[in-house]
Amino acid sequence: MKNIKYFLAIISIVLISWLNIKFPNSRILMVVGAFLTVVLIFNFSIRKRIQFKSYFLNPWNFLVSTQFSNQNTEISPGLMYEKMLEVVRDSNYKVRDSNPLKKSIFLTTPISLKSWGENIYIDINESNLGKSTIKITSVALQVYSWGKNQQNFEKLILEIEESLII
Amino acid sequence: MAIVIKLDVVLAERKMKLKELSEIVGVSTVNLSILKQGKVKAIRFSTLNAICSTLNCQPGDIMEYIDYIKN
Repeated sequence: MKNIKYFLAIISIVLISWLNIKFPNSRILMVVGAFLTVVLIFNFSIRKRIQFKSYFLNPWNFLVSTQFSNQNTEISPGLMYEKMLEVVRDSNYKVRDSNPLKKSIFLTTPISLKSWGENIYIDINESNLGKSTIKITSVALQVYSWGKNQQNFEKLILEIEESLII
Repeated sequence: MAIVIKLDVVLAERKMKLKELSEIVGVSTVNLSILKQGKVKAIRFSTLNAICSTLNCQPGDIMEYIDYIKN
């Protein structure tokens, strides 16, 4: 799905450039620029709300870059949820929402040089008896994340590992 | 893992709750719960020192090596 997204983005850029060359007096680029700006502003305005999780995680949302990672742990889901909350509160992520019943946590990261910020959705599920799987989904508010999604995973996983040294 | 943690046994003998131990030792209840289950990656000597000092016990009282293959 990610490759399809990149392919479509490249095709769109090529098509828009070709149309602009073919019809130089038209306002195609301006319209496209305005559309992308509106989408970016819309994404910014809703990104901190958990209600729009399905919008950001929709595989057909081509204007964001999504990556997920699953980590298995030997710790029970309830305890792992408490541990995750402890870890993210001590880090520079901003906790926007947490649900102890669903064992899910929603974080955001600030704007940086590489990215307009990311939304991170953490879901903890029971895998085997007394063990859990942590699903971390990082969504960058742009078509290409410039490695920020991967960086978020690595940082979170490292922080979890380090927090298990007491 | 072959190291079995017997923290809950010692806590029961001292009639102390985990939360109480957490407040004295300065380690969160979550971390002590994970330690009790034997799922921590490592324990610092300073933490072990604080736990043993609080519970007035030896490190061998709260952890035991069991050779599953031999047994």
